[in-house]
Amino acid sequence: MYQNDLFERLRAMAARPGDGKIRSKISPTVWALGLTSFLTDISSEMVTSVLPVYLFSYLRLSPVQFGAVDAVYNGLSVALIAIFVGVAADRTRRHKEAAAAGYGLSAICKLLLIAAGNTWTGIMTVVGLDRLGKGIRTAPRDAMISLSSQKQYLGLAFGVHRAMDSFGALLGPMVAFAFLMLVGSNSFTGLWMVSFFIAVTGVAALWLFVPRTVPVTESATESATESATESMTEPVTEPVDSPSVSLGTAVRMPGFVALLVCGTLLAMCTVSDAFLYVLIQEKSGIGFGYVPLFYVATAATFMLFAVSAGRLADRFGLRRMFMLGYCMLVVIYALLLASQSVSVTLAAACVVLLGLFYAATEGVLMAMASRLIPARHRTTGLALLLTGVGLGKLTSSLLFGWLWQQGGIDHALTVFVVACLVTIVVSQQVLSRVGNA
Amino acid sequence: MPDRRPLLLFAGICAVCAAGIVLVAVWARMHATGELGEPSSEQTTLHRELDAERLYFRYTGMGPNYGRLALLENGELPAGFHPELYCEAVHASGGRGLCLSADRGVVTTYSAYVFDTATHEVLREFPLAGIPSRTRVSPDGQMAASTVFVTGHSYASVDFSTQTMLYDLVTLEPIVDLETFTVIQDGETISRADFNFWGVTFLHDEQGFYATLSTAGTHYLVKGDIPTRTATVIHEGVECPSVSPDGTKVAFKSRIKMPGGVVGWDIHVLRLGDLTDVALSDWRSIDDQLEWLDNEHVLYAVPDESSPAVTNVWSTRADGSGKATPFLDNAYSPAVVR
Repeated sequence: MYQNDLFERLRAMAARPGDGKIRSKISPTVWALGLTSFLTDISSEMVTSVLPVYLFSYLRLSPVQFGAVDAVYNGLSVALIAIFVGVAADRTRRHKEAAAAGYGLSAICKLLLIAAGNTWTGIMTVVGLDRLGKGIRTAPRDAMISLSSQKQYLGLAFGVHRAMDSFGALLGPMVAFAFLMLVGSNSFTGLWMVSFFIAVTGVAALWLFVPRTVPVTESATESATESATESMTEPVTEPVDSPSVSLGTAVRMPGFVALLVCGTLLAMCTVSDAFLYVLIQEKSGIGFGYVPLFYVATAATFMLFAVSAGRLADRFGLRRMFMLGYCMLVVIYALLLASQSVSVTLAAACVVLLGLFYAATEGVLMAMASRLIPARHRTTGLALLLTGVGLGKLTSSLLFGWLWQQGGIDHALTVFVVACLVTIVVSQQVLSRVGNA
Repeated sequence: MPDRRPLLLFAGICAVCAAGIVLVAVWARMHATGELGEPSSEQTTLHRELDAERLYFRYTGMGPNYGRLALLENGELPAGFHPELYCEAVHASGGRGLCLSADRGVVTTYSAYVFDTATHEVLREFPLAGIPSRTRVSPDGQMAASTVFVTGHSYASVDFSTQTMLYDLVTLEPIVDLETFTVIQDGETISRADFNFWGVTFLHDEQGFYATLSTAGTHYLVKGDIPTRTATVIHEGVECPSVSPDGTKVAFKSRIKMPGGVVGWDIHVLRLGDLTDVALSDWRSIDDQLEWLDNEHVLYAVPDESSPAVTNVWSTRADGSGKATPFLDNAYSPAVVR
């Protein structure tokens, strides 16, 4: 039914006069990558949603602490490998192979979970490999989305992909629940195998339906830019005769560097979902058991509005949409800060606003970056940006946890609201000055 | 005409995967240890005599009774079942019991049920913040404790903390979350962000308990005082303490590094008088909060070789002599009601 809703929305938008058909704006590559992400997310989320129950309730493992140091160390190693893969994908122009390696690794992890047995070290290794798979595949996949889309429809292309991706994430836990209900509540080995089979269909969709890059050439993209209605600054010129792709070139583009820094700083001012939900739960007095519903509501909102947000961003400016998203985040923090006891309505509003924040920022940031990074450096640049955002989020979690411990929830939230507002104003200034979209 | 081969190949792969899923489902259904297994009467073997008036446990045998709250009266088989409760962990004493339960669903919720051991009536339900781990009821049945794992839910992450709550079983209200206790070490108050408490065991004097405090990789035995909300560090390297019926000893598990860097646990008994400690006799890693059968023997669950979901309760002597012997099959979380 979600799918119908989604397609209904797409059709309605496509039918709007003067807009042209959505099918003509979205390349088959984007649909195929959307299908891959949809299937992969069903597979991943069915594991993620029951992993705690499996570890603590079924295997009865006892807590073994994994400290912040481990998190930073693991985050950094995944980031380094992801950037290395990004550079290699750009050099060899084998985006598809790089993405397939990442998706394939995550698929195999579902089987490794069975082999890991009931030891922490085994399971943490598999979880780490799965995370590595995600780290490897994201940048080449987003690069393929951008390389196969016309510049004036980048927001829409990422929106369509993210909608399909989050639809899979929504279905995953339901598939897991249905399986355990029908087959037996302790059939985890069976569940991992089902997850593996679904992941295999995801890899197959990628391999069979995604063409080798790069159908839309750089020049075609640039000429498309000129025909776009919005005011664009001069296209990024790239050295035509540069023989090799290097990290250095990707880093030397002022527009991109500005976006990288602003994106990372904004991620550092973002309270992690987990903290935000605990905060909403504590202030509203809603039972602990309902916290997972917050995730569902946020993911559903993200899914439903990703396409519209992308489309609006294309029309009115990617940067405007991105900044609007962060303004919504400030509104959430301010609402939570202003009210000592949160009503159920307000809690729902916050959770939905968070979904809108994701719709306005997640794919849109990748679209902004794609406009700034020349095609031959696209994967490297996106990998750098994803790494920056990832490390920013990690820092934010550590900071927020520390502030919470030191001075309480409201203290931590106040610091984050102020930091977020300042960063939004500064980012707006910087990004408009260096001429981002 | 577009190339139809990728589409056909994809359809073929999907068909193979779908067939695989069906086969897995059928195979898993046949081996189900959950409530859908073949209906059979409970198969519990008691390997030795039981002096206690009653023994509660979680039944872990395959079949429709999997996970049910079971009880042995005067050591007589077959075991009976509580009319309604299914427990992940259970403890009972002094006329009251606490059953930590999971209600599995798309959204799994967890609750602690207070029940009357004479009438089996459920007196109160407390919501739990996470996955049940340990529970204990005080000897006179006036207080209880629960420990749960609170997990984050982010992509492929397994971060968590513990939450340990104390309940008043007379007024049927929660008393306090142990995180709010003031911790004293060597006469000084210490406070760190990574404090985690688990494994409460109550003393006989009502106002006190022992528990594990974990911080910066060290596991302390703390003595808690409820009226003053303080916990004092008294020993190191102790997890999941359990006070003996005579109040002179604490049985616990102690963390060890096993081959391959795997974490395991040895079981020990600490004499409270002089803080001397003896290792108990079992060749396996034991990950459980021990229960005292009497002042000379302890009980604990060990996963069966067939599946981690099936556990058996074993017994060993509290002075480190002898060797571990099977006590009760298809059982977990034993609670001896004296």
